[in-house]
Amino acid sequence: MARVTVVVTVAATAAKRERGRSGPPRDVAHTEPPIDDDAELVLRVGQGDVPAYRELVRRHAGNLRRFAGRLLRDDSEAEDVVQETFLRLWQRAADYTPAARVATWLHRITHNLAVDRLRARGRLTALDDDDDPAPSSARPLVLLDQKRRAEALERALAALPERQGAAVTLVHLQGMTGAEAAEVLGVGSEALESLLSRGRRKLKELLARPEILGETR
Amino acid sequence: MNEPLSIERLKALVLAYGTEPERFPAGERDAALLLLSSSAEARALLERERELDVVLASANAPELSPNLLRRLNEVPVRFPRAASRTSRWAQALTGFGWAAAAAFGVYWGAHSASLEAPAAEAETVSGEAATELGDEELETIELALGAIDELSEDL
Repeated sequence: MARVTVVVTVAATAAKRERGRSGPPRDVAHTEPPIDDDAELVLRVGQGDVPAYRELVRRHAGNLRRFAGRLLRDDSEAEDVVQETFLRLWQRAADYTPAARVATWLHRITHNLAVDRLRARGRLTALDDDDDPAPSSARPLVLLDQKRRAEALERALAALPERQGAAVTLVHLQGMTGAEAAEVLGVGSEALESLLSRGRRKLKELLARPEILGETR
Repeated sequence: MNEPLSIERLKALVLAYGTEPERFPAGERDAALLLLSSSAEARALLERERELDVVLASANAPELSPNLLRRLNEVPVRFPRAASRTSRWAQALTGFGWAAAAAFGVYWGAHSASLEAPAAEAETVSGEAATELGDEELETIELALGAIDELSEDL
């Protein structure tokens, strides 16, 4: 019986990761080959296989939409960027070389498209132009129910500077390794670590604010 | 063998990647686990960051609006694909193959007709065939060579 429970737990953990939720990520940067099932789908898309294309949409569009939204903070623009990403997949799949995971490749395309739009608006935040957050209070967030925690987190993530929000989303919500997230964002590993630690620190500060928690004074 | 990790480095890792050592860079993970198993200070570092990880784990799964899903599913219909490099090569080679086969057919036909038909008729028939098929052939060869030139430029 105990063995069955362990198997079920492991399967549940794997399913959770597949959904792009938080959870321990695979570290493929140094230990696993980058080719996965997605790569086979991309090869098929390169041959004009529409069901393969739709399967990639099913697997990745949600994460790409969340990532684009984090960078652009505009639903309409985020949807345009995701559509453009999949248009590129459809038209250029034959040029894909499996040097990176497909998820990393697609996120990189989305990132570049979003950055182009931010630059056009003159809205790209520089890497280090973040204000120093005030120390966070010791509010017991874990005592909030799941729904309120999720809502508060969404508000806090939306209030982060774009690149910090993007880094935290990639690593902590979508399960990418640091190396993959660095590749998507086009930064080195130290810069990625800096974005993550400043993002987490800012999140803690934001999550202590009543307006973020949905509380009225 | 990994080098030992300092408590300062572990702190930097925890502040960036959170409390799950699986998220740490692979090259530092074993050393971090070793330090965590032997240092109460290191474990306390993890505890201080745990609350944020609990909150991050409560993030909603990403969702797609029906409108975006429809737009994405329409992409293959609305945007026909440009031919890939591979398929362009395949087209060129196919054209070239047909050209070669046709040329061989012309040569064989002309040659065998001159052997088997009466001399005067054979000359006329083979001459006409050579002229007609030769033009088609030249056109096909031209097309194939044009395609190859185009490819060379692209590549």
